[in-house]
Amino acid sequence: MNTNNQHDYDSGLVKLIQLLRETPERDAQVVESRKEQFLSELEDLFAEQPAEAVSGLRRLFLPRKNPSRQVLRPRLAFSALLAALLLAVFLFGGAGVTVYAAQSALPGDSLYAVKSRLERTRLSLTANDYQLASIQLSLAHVRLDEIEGLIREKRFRQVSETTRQFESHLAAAIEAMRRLAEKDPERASQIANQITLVLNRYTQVLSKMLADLPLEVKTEVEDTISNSPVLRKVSESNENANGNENENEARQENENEASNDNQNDNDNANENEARNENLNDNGKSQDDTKSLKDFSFIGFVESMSAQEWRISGIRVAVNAATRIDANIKAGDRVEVKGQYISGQTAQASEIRLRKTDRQENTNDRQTQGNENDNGANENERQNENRSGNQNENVNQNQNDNSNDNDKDDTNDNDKDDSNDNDND
Amino acid sequence: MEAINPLINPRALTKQALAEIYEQHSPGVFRYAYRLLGDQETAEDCVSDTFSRFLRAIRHMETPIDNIQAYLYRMAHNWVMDHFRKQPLPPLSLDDDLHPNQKDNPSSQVAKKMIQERVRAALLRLPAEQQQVIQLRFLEDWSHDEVAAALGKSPEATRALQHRAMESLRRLLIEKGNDK
Repeated sequence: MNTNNQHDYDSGLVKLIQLLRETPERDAQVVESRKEQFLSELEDLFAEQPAEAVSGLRRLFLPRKNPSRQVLRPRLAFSALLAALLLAVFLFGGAGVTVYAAQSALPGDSLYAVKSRLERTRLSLTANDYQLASIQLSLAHVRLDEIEGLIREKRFRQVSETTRQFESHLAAAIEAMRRLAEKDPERASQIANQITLVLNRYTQVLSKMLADLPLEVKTEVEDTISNSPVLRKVSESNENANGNENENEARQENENEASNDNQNDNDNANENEARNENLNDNGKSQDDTKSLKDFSFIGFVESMSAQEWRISGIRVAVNAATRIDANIKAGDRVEVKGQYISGQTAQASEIRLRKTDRQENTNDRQTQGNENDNGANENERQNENRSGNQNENVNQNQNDNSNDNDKDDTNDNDKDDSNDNDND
Repeated sequence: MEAINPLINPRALTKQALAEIYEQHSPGVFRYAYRLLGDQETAEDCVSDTFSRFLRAIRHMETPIDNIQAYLYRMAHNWVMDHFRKQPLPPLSLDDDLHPNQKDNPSSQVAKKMIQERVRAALLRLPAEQQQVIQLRFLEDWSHDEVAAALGKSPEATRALQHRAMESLRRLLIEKGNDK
């Protein structure tokens, strides 16, 4: 700070000016929504570059027989998008609100493209595998929210595609976890726990969804699910799990790599049976809701309050009935058991301190073994076996991404072109 | 303020770098804007528009930027000036003599708020460059040299600018200057 000359002036006047120094604390929600808006613009900016390159190439190699038509197409496409955006702004009351409103858009809504773009930006700006896996898992939760929303609004046609996207996020998270396991097994284990929760919820949503879907859409969704690499592997793993339940534990990512070959060998033989079993189970699992709602995971305490704890990024509700070990503090490793309430809130029934990795692994296996014995539900077996599915999931994910990008590039280009037109 | 300002080629900024610039500088731009605007929501609009303009500007920018923070503050200041061209400046009430020796430590929040509003109103009545000097020197605590670099002037010219700004403020706040 350079105040050499401040005393040249009336110090009282400087004090008056400095009354303006303090500024109010910013509203976190507004800050986040404005940031998303900026990231969305950033995405647009960088999406423009390849578009310009392509049109440059086109100019070089293609004769411009009808230049007016080339200009017209993006204008038309953009005017449709602009109309949709203007309507959204009109409806929601401001430019910043567009992005905010997009957060709750469902597939098929006019603002869903904005939401998808924001998500892609979030992912593209994430370099480390832990964050990437966490974001992919949170997006998987968002897809599940959307599936529930679509069913609530009886918009069944989009369910199949959203289910596919959910699986794509899950597969990407598993792949990121696999990479992370090589460098940081501790954090990979946290991700594995979060995957357990996502899969638990997926099973719940699936069972509810299949019960609610009208017959004509049900077949399509069942096809999507049965062709899904994630679920297929999960259901195949269930077959294996009958033989060696405890060996496929979720947190042993490194060890499971070696077992991929064996599992692939079994693929063809088990495929049909596995799919049928999976679908049948889903169809009848309405009766199993109690066991499906159970969860258990191990993680690190991040924050604690009277109503809610945050453990390895997962919010867990606590109440007077929750049995909590004494002296737990933030940073401790704990095991949490509990149940989902109304599909989303994870209500803890007990939170126990867990000391060392070795102890944790031993206890963990025991815990899951018991759960299988008691609940005998599919869900938990799925969770245990997911690590073996990595290779195929990854391939599926890469394909999915490239498809998505193709579609999105088109949209972005339209928008960008028309932005330019607009400015002109 | 950053101690060293390496020249930045705006066209070479990656998506990641631009996202980091937003993270790093948007709180400062908010503070800068709020001190002039006195309204949180309008200040947030200013932050959004400033970064939006920044993104559009760097696409066509040929010359390197030596101080991104100063560049963003200047853009934010221009936004505020535009804002007050479209609507009247906040009133500078003259019914109360604001002698700093009597009121430099206001006891109540209400009194403090009133004085803040009056100082803000007075500051906004200065020419744009004088406003910038006052903000950067006394609210951002930049040195004369830093302010000079940000405004593209010599340190001597910046001192003279500050002197004129302080004289004007004294007239407006303490000696019951005219409400323009």
